[in-house]
Amino acid sequence: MSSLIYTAFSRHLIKHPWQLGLALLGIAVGVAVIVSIRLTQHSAFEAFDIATHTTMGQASHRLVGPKGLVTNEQYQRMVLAFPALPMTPVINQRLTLPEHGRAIELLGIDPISRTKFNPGGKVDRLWFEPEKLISEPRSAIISRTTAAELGLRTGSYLTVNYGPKTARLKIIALLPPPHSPGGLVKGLIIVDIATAQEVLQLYHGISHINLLINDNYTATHLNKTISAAYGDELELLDLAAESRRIKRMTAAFYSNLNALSLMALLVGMFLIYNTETFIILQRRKILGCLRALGVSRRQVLQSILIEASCIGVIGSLGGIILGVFLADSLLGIVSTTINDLYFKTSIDRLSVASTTLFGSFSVGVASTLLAALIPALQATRIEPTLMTNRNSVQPPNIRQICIIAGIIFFLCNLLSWFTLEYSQSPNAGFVGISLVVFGFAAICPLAIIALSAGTRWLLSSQRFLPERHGLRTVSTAVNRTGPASAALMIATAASIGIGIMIMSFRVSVSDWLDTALRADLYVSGEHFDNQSRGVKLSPAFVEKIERLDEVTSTSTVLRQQIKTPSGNVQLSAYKLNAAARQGFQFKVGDSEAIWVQWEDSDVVIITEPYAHHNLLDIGDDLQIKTNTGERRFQIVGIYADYASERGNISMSRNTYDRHWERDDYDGIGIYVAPNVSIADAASSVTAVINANSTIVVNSAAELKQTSLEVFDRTFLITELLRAIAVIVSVIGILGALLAQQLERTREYGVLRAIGFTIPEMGRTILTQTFLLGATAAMIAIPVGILIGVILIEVVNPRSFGWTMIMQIPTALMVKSFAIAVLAALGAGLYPSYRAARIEVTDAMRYE
Amino acid sequence: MANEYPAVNLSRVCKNYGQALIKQRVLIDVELRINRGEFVVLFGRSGSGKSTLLNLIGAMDRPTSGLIEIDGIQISNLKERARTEFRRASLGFIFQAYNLIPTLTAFENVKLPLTLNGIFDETPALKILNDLGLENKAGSSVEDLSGGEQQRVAIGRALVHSPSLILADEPTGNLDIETGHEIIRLIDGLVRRNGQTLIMATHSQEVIGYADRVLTIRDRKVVEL
Repeated sequence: MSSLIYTAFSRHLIKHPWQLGLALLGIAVGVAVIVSIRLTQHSAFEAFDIATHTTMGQASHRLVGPKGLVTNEQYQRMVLAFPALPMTPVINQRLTLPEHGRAIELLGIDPISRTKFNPGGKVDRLWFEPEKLISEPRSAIISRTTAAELGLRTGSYLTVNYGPKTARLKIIALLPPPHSPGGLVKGLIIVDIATAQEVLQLYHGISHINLLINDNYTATHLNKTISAAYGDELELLDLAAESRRIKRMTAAFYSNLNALSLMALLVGMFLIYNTETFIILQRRKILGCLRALGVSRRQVLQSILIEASCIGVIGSLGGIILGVFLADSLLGIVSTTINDLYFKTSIDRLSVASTTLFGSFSVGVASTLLAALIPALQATRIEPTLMTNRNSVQPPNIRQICIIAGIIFFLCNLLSWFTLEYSQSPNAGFVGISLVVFGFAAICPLAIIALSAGTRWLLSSQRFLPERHGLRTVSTAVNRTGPASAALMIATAASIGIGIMIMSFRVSVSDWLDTALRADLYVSGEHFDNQSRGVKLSPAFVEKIERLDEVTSTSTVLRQQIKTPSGNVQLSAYKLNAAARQGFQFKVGDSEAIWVQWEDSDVVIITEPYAHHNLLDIGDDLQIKTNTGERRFQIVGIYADYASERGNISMSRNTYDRHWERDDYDGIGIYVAPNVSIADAASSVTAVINANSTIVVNSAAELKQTSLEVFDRTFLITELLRAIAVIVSVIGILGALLAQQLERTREYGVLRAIGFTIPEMGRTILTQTFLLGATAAMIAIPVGILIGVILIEVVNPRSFGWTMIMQIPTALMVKSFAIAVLAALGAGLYPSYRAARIEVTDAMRYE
Repeated sequence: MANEYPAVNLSRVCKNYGQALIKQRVLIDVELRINRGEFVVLFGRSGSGKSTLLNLIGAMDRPTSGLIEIDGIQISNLKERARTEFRRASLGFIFQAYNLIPTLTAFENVKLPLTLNGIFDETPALKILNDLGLENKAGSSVEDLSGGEQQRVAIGRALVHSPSLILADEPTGNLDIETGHEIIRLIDGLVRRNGQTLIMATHSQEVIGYADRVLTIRDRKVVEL
């Protein structure tokens, strides 16, 4: 292929920087969104790995007690029983910093036994001299970042609180040392195990034991031995499996974000398609000339695709740079959501993975080529006879557009139906959505033609000549205005669909909270994560609360991780009064029948997600390992619960007590006497608590507010991505209009010459943009509702097992319609300005 | 052997546009023979079918029926790829609107057919620019040239690879009379010097004086004027 053709094409692009810029922007924004989502995910996982490594060292397994406590005696027995097995005691607990008004994670370690976890001289992430921690009493090491935040340095003292207990720790080192390759351990304070016991006044035990299974012991052998020696007192956890399980929990969250990022890329692809179509339109004469001179169709296709791949490469590189910056900005939001919903991690910095960058780069280039393929194929159909054809701009073939659009619409919707009907995967939901969106995008040009004709009929008076002209123009240039309108339609529809899903989800969660939070006040041990490391409430404490004059009745809950054949799950044992029972919304099962069996039979009720993930229904039996051995419990109800994606099992406290021996609680629901204010009751309850430890009291309203705040934070990133997609599509509309204006420069000149005033020129162009926006919005509303239905009825039940009450808020529809139309009108302002400034003589000469 | 064949030979060539009910018959049973080295003018009003005939001879379009031979090669049955290669190697085109590649310089435009034919020697391009009096404009963007200069670049591009047949469609249509004459003189001189065949579609009376033969399209058939 002649290099002269590439020279000609590249110079053409350089001479038209707006078009080049739009194409580059389209792909760059799409790639940037993908890169940012992938990088934040990677950073979150890396931070999690580093934090895990810091607390576990090279440990492969962890030995835990049922109440989050391993006694000193149990630890000593383990050391004696397995002398060749590297093991180290660990204490971890969250402390508060009274001088700074924030919390910090305490990690108590045994520096000497921990060294066994770094065989072969592997670098310990903690990176310090262990003997210092032992030799200097109440000494601590703190992460460098946290030290900077708290204004601490080596030699400073830090006051920490654990409930009513206070201690002062001396900072003896910061980690990692400067210029070291050490990891990030933000929000962590490390002390010797003895210091940790002193700070927590936990002299009789530790949190858990970390183990490194080596050639001397297999996990199976160890499990058997531990089971024989300790029964159910201690449990061996595979840390790698735990880590994988925790990361898997975020899969649904990220699949939503990835779907959104792909949508942004789809919008970007429309932008590229639009730009490529216009570039080819501009080059029709050049291409026709080249064809006449003997350039083959294949050479035309090849040269356009090579040019597109160059745009793809540059755009994707730009997208990667933009994506890294975007990821840095999103890191805080993603970090908050992960902390709220999944696991505790401090994402201190962005971790840039080359595989992510390369993958996103490849997706960007491939998408550009795909988007450019149709215009490139159209270019190959340009005939050399164009050179002797006086009519340089041919009107689009409406019949052809109708047939192609109809076929695409039909096929996409049929495929979508098949996908949704016959695949049970959550990802099939996203595929179904993409097909529906693509199918409706195909009919955008048809809608433009129809709406244009209808509006022209309505505006038949001569007073509307500029508007009528604008409507006709937008219709005849439908091969360029169609994709722009489709891009705006996609962004608006996605915005509506996601809006419907979020709104429905929020209303469902809010309704559920209203129903579930029947008590006036809730007392609980402070839970820092979903590992149940909070303080347990004693029966004496519950009794004290019940004896308060302000309290009429209580309900209680005890939470415990239990073993079932399908894995560990949280069991909640409830003592419920009549009001608390009304807090359960049963999706399956008869509530009256359930409560009849609740106390005296071995029955359980399970949450929707648990039923979904484990394919369970009422009438099925659950085999649970209890203190009295394996027992079968019949499922009698499935209830709504949005608190956990994994789901949980509930039974009555009576049933629990028949199979386990525990007397403590995790939470109390307090029903306040009718003549007492909730604030007064809360004060009385708090007065009882002060004598205890880190127990917290919340009103139902506070809990609801906090829960909804978490919900809103979770979807903040979604809102941001929605906004990005809309901005990209507005740029698309702007590009399409600019392109159209350029193409019609001579026509505008003629209009000005025959007497069109500047305001009339503005009316012409703004009518065009209004039509594009209105078409996009009108199609986007039904498509958005369809997306919402698929998200609510297919994606969410398949991903999480949650059902929702569908909401179609009128305000959202009106807002989206207005945004689409205003965006389109806004995009028309600059072209109107340019059209108004056209010099008639120059325009008439324009080729 | 090649000399036994006429430069252009059309036999019972028909060309219709459209389909079925709205079929438009532009050329009917055209018979035409043009010898090597002839300068033939295709004279007639707009819409008479001159450009259609030129497109058919130039392998840019296919006849509805009939045979077209150029230098003994039957092009009416050639497949798309072969027709493209034929145009590249054997034909030179001059258009009314010049149709130069605006993003290339004058020299690059002239050189284009050479590079398309795999000839990387730039001497012919430089020589023809000299012949056309454009040696000082070689590096200029074609957009900076006057209409006459642009058409001279187009002539250079049509002749540089020494095709046996040159097709010119209203080459003076966009030029003033004086420049038009100058362009016709240039084309005439160059093609006669190289012994090339030239078919020029025009409605300009002034061009007729340069031609060996003048043809016109009457009742959708080619006839001598």
